[in-house]
Amino acid sequence: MEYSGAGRIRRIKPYLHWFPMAVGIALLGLTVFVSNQPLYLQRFILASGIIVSLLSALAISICMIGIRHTRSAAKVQSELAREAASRELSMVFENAREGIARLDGDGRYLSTNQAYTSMLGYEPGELIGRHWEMTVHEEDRERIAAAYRQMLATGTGEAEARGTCRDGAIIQKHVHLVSIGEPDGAAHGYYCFCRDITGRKRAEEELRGFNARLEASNQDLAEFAAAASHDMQEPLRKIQAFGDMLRASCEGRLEPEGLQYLARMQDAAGRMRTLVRDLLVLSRVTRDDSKRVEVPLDQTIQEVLSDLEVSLLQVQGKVEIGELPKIDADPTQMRQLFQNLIGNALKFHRKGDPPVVEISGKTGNDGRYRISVRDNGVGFEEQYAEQIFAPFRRLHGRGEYEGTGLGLAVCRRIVERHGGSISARSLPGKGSTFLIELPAMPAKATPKRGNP
Amino acid sequence: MTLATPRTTVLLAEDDSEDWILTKAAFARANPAVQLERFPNGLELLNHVLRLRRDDSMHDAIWPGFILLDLNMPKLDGWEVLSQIKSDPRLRSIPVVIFSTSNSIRDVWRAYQSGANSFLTKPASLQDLIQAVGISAKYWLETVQQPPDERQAFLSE
Repeated sequence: MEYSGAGRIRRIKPYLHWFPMAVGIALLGLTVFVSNQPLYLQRFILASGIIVSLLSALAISICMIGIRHTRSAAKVQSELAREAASRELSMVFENAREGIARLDGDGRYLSTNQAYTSMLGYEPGELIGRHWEMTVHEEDRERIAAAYRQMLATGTGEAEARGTCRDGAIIQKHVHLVSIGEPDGAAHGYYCFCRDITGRKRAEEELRGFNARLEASNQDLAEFAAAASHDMQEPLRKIQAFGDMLRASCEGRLEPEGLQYLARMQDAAGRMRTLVRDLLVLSRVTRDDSKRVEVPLDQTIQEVLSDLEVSLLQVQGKVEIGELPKIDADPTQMRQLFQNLIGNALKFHRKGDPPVVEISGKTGNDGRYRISVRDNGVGFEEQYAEQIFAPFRRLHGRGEYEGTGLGLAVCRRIVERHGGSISARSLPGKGSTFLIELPAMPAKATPKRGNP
Repeated sequence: MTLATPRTTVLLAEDDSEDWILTKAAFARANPAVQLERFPNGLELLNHVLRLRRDDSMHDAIWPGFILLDLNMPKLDGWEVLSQIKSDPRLRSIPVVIFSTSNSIRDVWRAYQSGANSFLTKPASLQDLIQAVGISAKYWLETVQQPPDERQAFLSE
């Protein structure tokens, strides 16, 4: 605002010094014009002419001084601002956690901040005039040189390299070079922004180590489970087979009681085989994100239904499929999950009442999938709603319904390996509902961009 | 060409004596004409077929109709025996039936990749075992054509 008055005067300034001259000429003309007038009038005009020109000269001088004054005030103001900015800049420079250094075109330090020198174990100012190579591990100097060349071409360059401290210690650092001059101005200096990433690197390495060990131990466990299940099934297979031989060769010589014992023995061996097999299935439910793909659940359930076709026909069952989302999951495990749930619904139907299974699902506002499997079967007491998911837990005697008690344990494990939860609601004689909740598709990790 | 004298010899590589008893009993019930020869490990079976190959006086009936090969065996396992037989031009055409407790997809895939002619998972019940060896014997010994004489076929090339 204060500059606007001065600005107006500045606009007419080139013409100001013509003003007193014009007044003088006008008075001279007037003196000629009034020379035949009385003397007192002549004197009056001359005197007033002189006074007017003096006054106007004075006014002009005052204006000029005013302009000069406002101009110098503005100059002082901007100098103050520049000083403040520079103070602020050096505050930021000194107190930044990131190491900042300015280097000349030859790669020698011109200035360094506190973070930069302390990162490398030097005293403030100790690096000034030294070359950057002494702060970088011999084998990694080419990386920095490459970043420098990139900076010359594009204005900035980045690299990760090992840094050498004053005491010879090695740190991992991330370096960001920013050219001060125009791109391709080879001789210009540059800024180096430097971060100590030793901790991050070590953590990454540790994580890689843990992952490798975890993978190895998972692999061991899976191999052990497979071998154990194979070796445990072997003797059982032989008990059954030799039982068959015994029956075939000695049938006539065995009492009915003996034959019954034999049958029970073989039956038990058969159950044990199923148990071992189901345990193997349970132990194989592991988390393997690499197997995750988009699974259209309606298709999965159609596949399950075609596997269950025979049992569906036997019990005259019906399965109604509502709308189902596509989810991000391990397709084999999803199939196993619905195979077990639908299989259960068909198995635990009420006598004389054909089973009807309804499956539907939706994606909630929070992006979580909710899927329900409802049946009209025998149901169970609410108090067992949790227990039924425990391994080997059975609510019915073997005489009523066969099974190993591992089916729902497998279901729970599958859902939990997908980061979700499964629960059951039921009333005796009123059917059961199994609710599955699965988290939304996790964002696929984008591959990390490599540094130049 | 007429079919040569039907072959009746079946070679069985099996280290487990219980499985040997069961398999022998199953063959006896399914097809008593089969001459089952047992080898307690892969090495002995391989040495036997290599000996057969060299012996020109051997008459055709002793040439094996097929080989039943267990996979897990001491000394030389089934995989090694399979690959040696299938890489030998004279032995290659002897049908090899893998006879294992394994039912893993990986083993099945690998067996056929290595040239196995069939893959049988040892059944649990005697009934199923009798059926499995009966069908195998009927198929390989009575149904299909096999080259009349391995050594002659090879020499006439």
